[in-house]
Amino acid sequence: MPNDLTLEEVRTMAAEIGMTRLDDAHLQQLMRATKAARARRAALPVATLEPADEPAHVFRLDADPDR
Amino acid sequence: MTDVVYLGIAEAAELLRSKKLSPVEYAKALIDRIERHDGGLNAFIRFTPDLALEDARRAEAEIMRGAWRGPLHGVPYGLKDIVDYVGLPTTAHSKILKDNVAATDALVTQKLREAGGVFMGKLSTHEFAIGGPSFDLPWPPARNPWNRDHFCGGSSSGSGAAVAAGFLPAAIGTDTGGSVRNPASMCGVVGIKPTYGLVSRRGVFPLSFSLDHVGPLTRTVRDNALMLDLIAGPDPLDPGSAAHAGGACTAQLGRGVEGLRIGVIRHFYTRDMEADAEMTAGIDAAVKTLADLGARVREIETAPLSEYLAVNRTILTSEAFAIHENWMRERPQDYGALARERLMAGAFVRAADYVNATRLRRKITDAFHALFTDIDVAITSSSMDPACRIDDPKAVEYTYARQSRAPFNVTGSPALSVPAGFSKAGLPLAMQVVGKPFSEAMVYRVADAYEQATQWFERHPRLDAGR
Repeated sequence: MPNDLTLEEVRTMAAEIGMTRLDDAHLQQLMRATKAARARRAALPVATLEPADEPAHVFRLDADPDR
Repeated sequence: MTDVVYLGIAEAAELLRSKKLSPVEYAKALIDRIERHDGGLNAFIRFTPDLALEDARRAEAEIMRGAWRGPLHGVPYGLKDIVDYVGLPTTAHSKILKDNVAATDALVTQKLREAGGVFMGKLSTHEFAIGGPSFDLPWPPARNPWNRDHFCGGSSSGSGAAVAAGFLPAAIGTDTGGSVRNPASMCGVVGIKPTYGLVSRRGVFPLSFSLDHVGPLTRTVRDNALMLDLIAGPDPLDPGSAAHAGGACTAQLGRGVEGLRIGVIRHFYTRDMEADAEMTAGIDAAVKTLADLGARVREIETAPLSEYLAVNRTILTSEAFAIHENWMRERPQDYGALARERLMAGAFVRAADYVNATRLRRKITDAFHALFTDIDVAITSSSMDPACRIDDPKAVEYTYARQSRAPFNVTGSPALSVPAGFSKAGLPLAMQVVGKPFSEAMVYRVADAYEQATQWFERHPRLDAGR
């Protein structure tokens, strides 16, 4: 995903998720924040993941003791 | 006897129980101190002296008739203003929740109320526990009691400032990427992020469901253990609550560290990030003290700090944006600039990135916990730098990211920040003591041994100095 977003691109992206009330200063903030988030993505060592590595959120159900 | 405003919980409890100190007189002394000095520190968002005196009078009547409830009975405390107290607004330091009156107590509040604590008020935070220090909110940011021109850390800013300033012996904070331990480090007090799930989050405004923790800030390790014992325990109404009874946090205090195995994660603050030289020297001296006390110390390696931080921030911003998305659509102008920008970082995180961060979380957590086969606790840095000036946004932004607390929100491990001396400028230095899940008693044991050997808690900021 390219990290050279323009303000107009960010305005369109924001509108697509219903964020239509952002003024230009807010959109500048959204652009900086999105660029920072994308840079952070690059720091995730995803190449170390195997297909069967499961998320931390996978949960365990308890058996019903009455059955 | 210690000046009454700097009494610790353990010391105050003995005086209160034996009727040598009146809960009402104790509360009045702290009320007077807060009234004289909080104008320069802004630790409180809502100071409630009337409620405090009501609690104190009730405690006094109970103690006089022999119905002592335990170590917090008649002892003042405060709550970070994302924790519900029935009948008072929980503002999260934000215009958005300015009129958000709590219908019930958070479970933590309920436990402190049942313990007979004297509630003194709601404490400053960063907006929604993420945006601060900010000067564009309905309330000013808390300042550092050691030097009011400096940042006091956050997001549990008021909690750290109030405890360091002698306004309260204990306060409740929350920690998602280090927000109990940062103000503890900056203000020279003790703060713990307990094991994930040990303390209920019910009634606490969320920042990131899978990373949020509730923990106490105090001036000593023993007081911190006493507080955690009071608030820990399972809560069937908190989906993240652990089936662990808690308790026994004070069980190992005073046993020393002779023969204990301590692993030092030095690469966090020397290789992955280069900490300020005074901070590194403070931590290294603390490690030497523990070795001199008989601990078996060696360096250990874990994943690079950058990996932990990327996992923490990807999960945190994704979960936080899910909570704030509707307000971002409807009233973005009502956020302060810092909270708005930090929360917006989650707007366009891809679903696959969030899931991969949680997959990496499981891997690095398993690997980190495996280290505890060969060690009893780990020691590492907390903040990389002493507190910077609060009026220098670039310095705040720079130091905000220079920390090694977030790894333990990822792993869920208990992690405690304890004072490790002072910089030449008189600002606190700190280190972290980290344990395996539910080993809070061991974490407190090691921190207590260090604290007793160094006695940093004997130093207090001079609030009359005008700095």
